Amino acid sequence: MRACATIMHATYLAAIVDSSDDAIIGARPDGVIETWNRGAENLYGYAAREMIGRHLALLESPEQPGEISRILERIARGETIRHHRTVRIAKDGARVEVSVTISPIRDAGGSVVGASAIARDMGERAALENALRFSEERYRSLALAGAQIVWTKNARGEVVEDWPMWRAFTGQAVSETTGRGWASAVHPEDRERIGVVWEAALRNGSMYETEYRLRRHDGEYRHMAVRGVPVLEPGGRVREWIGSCADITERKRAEEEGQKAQRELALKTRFATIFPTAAEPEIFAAVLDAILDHTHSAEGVFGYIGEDGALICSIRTRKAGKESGASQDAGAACETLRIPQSEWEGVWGRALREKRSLYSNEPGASPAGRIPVRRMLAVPIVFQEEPLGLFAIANKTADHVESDRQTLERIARDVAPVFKARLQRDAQERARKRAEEEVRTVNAELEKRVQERTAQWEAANHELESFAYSVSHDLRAPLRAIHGFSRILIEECAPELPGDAKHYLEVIRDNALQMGELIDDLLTLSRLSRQPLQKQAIAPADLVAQALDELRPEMGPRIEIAVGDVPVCEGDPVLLKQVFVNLLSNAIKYSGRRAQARIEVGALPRADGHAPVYFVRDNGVGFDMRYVHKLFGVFQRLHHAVDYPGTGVGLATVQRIIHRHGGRVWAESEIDRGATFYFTMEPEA
Amino acid sequence: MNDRVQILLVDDNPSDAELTLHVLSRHFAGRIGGNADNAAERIADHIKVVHDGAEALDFIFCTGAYAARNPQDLPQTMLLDLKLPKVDGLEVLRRAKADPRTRDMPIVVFSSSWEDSDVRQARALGAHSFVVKPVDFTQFVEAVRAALNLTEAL
Repeated sequence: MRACATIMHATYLAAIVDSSDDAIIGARPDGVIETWNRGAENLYGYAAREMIGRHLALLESPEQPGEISRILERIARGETIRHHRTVRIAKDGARVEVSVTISPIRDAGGSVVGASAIARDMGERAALENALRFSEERYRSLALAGAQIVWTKNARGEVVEDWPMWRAFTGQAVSETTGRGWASAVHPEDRERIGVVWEAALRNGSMYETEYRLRRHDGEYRHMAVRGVPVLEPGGRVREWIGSCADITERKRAEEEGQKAQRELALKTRFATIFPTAAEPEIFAAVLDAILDHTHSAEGVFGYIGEDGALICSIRTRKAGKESGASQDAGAACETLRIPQSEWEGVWGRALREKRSLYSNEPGASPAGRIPVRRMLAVPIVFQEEPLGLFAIANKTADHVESDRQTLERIARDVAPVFKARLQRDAQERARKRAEEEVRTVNAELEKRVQERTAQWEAANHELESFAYSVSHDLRAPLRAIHGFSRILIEECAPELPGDAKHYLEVIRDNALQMGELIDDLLTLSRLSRQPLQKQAIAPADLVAQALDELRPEMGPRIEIAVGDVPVCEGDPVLLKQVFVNLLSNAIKYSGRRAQARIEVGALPRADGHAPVYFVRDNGVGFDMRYVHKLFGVFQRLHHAVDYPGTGVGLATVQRIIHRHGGRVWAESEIDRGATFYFTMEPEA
Repeated sequence: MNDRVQILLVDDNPSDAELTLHVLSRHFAGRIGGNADNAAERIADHIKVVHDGAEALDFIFCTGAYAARNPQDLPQTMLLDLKLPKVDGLEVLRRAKADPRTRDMPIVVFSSSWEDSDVRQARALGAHSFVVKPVDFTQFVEAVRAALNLTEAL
């Protein structure tokens, strides 16, 4: 049996060797040829009988002397030489380009007992055939590598061969792929379309190129790029179709990701322009257009949380599928709504409250229940834990999925800092405007009050002036008559008057004069109140000297006046001189009866940061401190006019002048121990 | 002295007017001659007293009640109180100074106080001199005398 099998085997092999197109040559280790098949006869032109017993070197090209003996040496060592490209010389002397594979032949003990050489013609004659063979090998390798599915169809477009790679990819059985069965693995939505493309290619014998989704063995549809070309016979007729399917799902995804990233970047760039520049009403429309464009949604809500915590938002509606610039639904589509927290509801309300993005594909409502919506996706814009506002979209044609949420959330996150900056700027602007408005209101109010007061003051002043005018004219006129006619009587009728009459007339005349003085003093006092202060730096010592010069006629011989250190101050010099005149005049008057009258002018030791306190002191009769509150009143006199004549206006005048400077005046005294009048010329700290 | 009015006295206060006349009669007595007792009567021929600004204007411009007066007979001097009924003293002064017929007539302004803003205005309008009318009649007499001496010196 075994021998039989061996013989059968040998016969079978001999048949293969004999029918091969390749030259198959057997040789002894020394290179003497033992077998020579038909392929060898065809290739080299020698018949088997010519070559058996001859040496292989006969075929050697003079271009490569010793090549064959070197190959034989390597074979003797047990090496195999594969696809060795070289040149041989045929019987007719022609150069033959060949690819040779030479292997050692071993006996049962493993010793090299010969060499087999298989040579293939690589010249032009066999180029076409070889190319086809290589191509087949290449496709096979590719298919085995898994990169592509290689498929074949016959000239009528029918699947007649097995599609092992297709089956491996789709999990279909052989029986399922034949005929048009293979198409059942193609996504149902794609079948009709690719059928049309294929029919056209088949009809025209042109290249077939398309993409479709193909169900993988695990059930997942994969994007495939499909190409097919007709294999033509020499006459130009289509012999068959050969094609490939490549899985481009990953590439497509990468492309889509890239496009998405680009669109996102474009959107963020758009926001980066809108947020800092758009004015408040327009910003809503601009942001919503951008969002609706990006998400292909029909409804959008965008808003920010105002200072009172309410959501200031706008809703935009447009017809599905329309891009930017689409006609806006008429009317209220982009008006601004103010929604207090108590009315935050639905998906968008929760998103705002919980500071996280949410979506629901169920029916709901837009803010303020304006628009019934489905498929709302709401994303709060949060900056450092602080919710700033909200994007929401609704009524998209397809359901929202997780990636939609992630996309909008990413956009919201990136936009948040710019949005925050904008809101801050608006808040600052509003605060500034409010402050300005307040200042304006307060100023206007103040201005109004100042005007009112000024008007009142002017009216009062005017009245006072008319009054003073009347007083000076009308009160003095009768006094002038009394005084004048008394004097005429005294001077011109003296001889005819009884003794007492002249005295009475003199009393009348003196009283008229005194009343004149009173009127003059009152007018002075009144003028002091009205006349504007002419403030300047003044040296009180100079004013004291001037006052004393004026008062010289009133001073008796026994009077000693000491002027101490009086610091400079600010004030109206004319008025301050009047102060010194009045105070010194009083001092002179009330100390006039002293054997040694002594008057002192000076200033108290000055405490840091305090206004200087000036004083005028005398050693006169003084006054009772119980009546000190009456001292500065108009017409108030603490002494009898007979003893100390005066109008009772002098100290009132002093007080008026000091008060007008913002200062203070007060007095200390003890009866018979003199009096001291103090005053300051500016407000005390 | 001739018979025409030498002085126009404009004063609404009869006492002041009388006192002023008294002073003027004393002033002129020495020059007119005769005794002082009937000086006032004689003086009345030379001094015209009017009691308000309107009458003063009628007198100097020969209008109204004085339409028959000869416009050539301008008083030598006008003694003008500022506070007057109807047309006040400043207005009389302004119109007298604005008219070429009366522009050169010296006007002595009477006022109750140096401090009146009226006094400043009167000065600006071209009043010749001022007499402040104090309560003290003695001072008044001196002041009127001084003013008249000034006008006569022209």
